[in-house]
Amino acid sequence: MKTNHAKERMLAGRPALGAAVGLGSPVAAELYSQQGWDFVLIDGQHGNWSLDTTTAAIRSVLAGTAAPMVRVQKNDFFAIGSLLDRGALGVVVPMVHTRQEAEAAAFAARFPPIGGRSQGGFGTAILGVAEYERWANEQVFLAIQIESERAVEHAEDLLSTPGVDGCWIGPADLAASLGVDLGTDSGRRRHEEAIMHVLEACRRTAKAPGIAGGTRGERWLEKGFLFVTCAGDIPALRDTGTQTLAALQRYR
Amino acid sequence: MRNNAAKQRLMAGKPAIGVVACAGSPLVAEMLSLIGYDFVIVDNQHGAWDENASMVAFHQIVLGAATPMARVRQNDFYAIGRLLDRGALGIVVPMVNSPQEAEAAAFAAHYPPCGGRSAGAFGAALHGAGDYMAWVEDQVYLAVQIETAEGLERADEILSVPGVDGCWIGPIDLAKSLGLDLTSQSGRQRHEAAIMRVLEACRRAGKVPGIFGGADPGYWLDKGFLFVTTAPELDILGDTMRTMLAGIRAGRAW
Repeated sequence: MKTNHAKERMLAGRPALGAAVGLGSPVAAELYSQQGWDFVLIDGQHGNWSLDTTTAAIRSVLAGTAAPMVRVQKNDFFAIGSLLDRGALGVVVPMVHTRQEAEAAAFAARFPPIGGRSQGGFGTAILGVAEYERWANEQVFLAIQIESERAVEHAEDLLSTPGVDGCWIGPADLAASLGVDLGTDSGRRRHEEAIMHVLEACRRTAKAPGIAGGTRGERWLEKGFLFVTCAGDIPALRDTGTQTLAALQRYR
Repeated sequence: MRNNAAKQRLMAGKPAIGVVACAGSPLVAEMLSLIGYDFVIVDNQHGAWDENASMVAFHQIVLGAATPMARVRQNDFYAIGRLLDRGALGIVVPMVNSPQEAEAAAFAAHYPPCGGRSAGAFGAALHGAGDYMAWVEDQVYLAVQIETAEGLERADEILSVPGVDGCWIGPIDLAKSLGLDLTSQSGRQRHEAAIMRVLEACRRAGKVPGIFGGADPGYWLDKGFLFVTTAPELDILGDTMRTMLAGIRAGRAW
C-alpha cells in the first residue's frame, strides 16, 4: 500500500521538497521520483500534459518514492475528481480567492461525508488500498493557491476551510496582483510581507504553508515553509542548457 | 532495485505464469500485474501497442509484482533495443527459425561483451539500478519463438545459442507450418509430439521451455513447461463477458 509520505512529513511539521514537471514527459517525472524528492507536482494548469500522459506520469512517480501530486487546470469539481481517480495523492488548485472557492475545492477532493467527490476511481487500484474512499480522505493532500491580494487579505478564512490541508503560494501571480515591482527594494519588501502574512495565517489555522520556490526554495524553507517546490524540469533544462552553452562560448 | 522475479523463478526451475497484453492499454497491463501474474508480455507483434504506450505499460507493470516483457514486432536489432531502453526486462522474439536468427536476437538483447546492444536506456531508470548496463545483463530474459517446421527441426541448435534463455512455442503457427489439422486426433497427436520435441531440446540445452498456453496453460505446466502464458487479456475479456451476457439473456424473452 502506498502512503502519502509527503503529507506525513508535513503533518509532523517537517518540510516536503517537491519538483514540478511541465514538459509532459512521464520519464522526467519518474527521474525526480527516483532521486528522492518528497513529491512531484505535475503541472496541469500551465504544463504540457494531457489526461493520458498525466495518468502515465502519476504511475511513473509511484514507481519511485515521491508522492504524485497534480496542479489541476482550474478549480473544477470534475477536473479535480478525474485527477484523483488517476491515482494522484495531492491536488493543487490555482487562483483560490474566496472562501466559497476553497470550499468548492475541498468538496471536489473529499468523498462524503466531508465532501462530494464522486466514486469511480478506475485508476486507484494501483494504490493497493482495500477501502480507497476512506483512505483517500485521509491521504490526499489539498493545497489551494493563494496568489492574489484579495486571497492574502482573507488567507486565514480560506485556510480554515475544512478539507484544505495547506496552501501553495504563487509568488509571480501574487506580485502581479499586488502591483509590486520586484525590481525595487520596496516592491520586494511588500511582496515578502504578503507572503509572510500567509505563512502566519497557515500557522494560526494549523495548515501547511507552501510556496512555489522556483530557484529560491531554500530561502522559503528557512522561513518555515513546508510544502515547497524547489526544482522543475523546465527550469533545469533552461538553466543547465544556458550555463553549459555559456561555458563553451570560447569554442564557437 | 527491482530484480526480474520471473526470471529468478525460471532459473530455479519453477514455473512463471504470464499473460499476453494486446489491448494497448497501460492501465490493463498494470491491472494484470497487480492481480499476480509473474510476467506480462506487451505484444508488439500482434497487439495494438505503439512504442510510447509500450513504455508507459512497462512502467506501470513494475508497480505490481510482474516482470515487464515485450514481444518485439520482428527480430530486429533496433526494435529489440528500443523496447529494452523503455524498461522491458524480457523479450520474446517471433519466428526464430535458425541459430543465426537466434544469435541475432541475443546480440540485440545483450550489451558487449556478450552482444552488441547500444547504450542509451533513457527509460530504464524505473528499475532503480545504479549501474543499469551491468545490472540488466543478468536480469534480461530472452525467449525465442519456435513455431515453424524449420524452427522445430533446428530446435537444438537454436536453443544452444548463448544469451538465449528459453523458448516460447507458438502452437497455432506451429500447427499451420506443419500442415496439421487440429480437429483430427492424429493431427493433435502429431502437434503434441512436435511440442514435446521442443521441450526435450530445452532440457538438453539447459534452457527454459515455454509455450503460449492459450485456454489450457495447466496442461502444459503439467507437462513440464515453465514459461507459460494464459490466453491474451482481450480473449479472456471477450469470453467472460460473452458468458455473462448469455447468462443475463438466458430464460428472458423480450
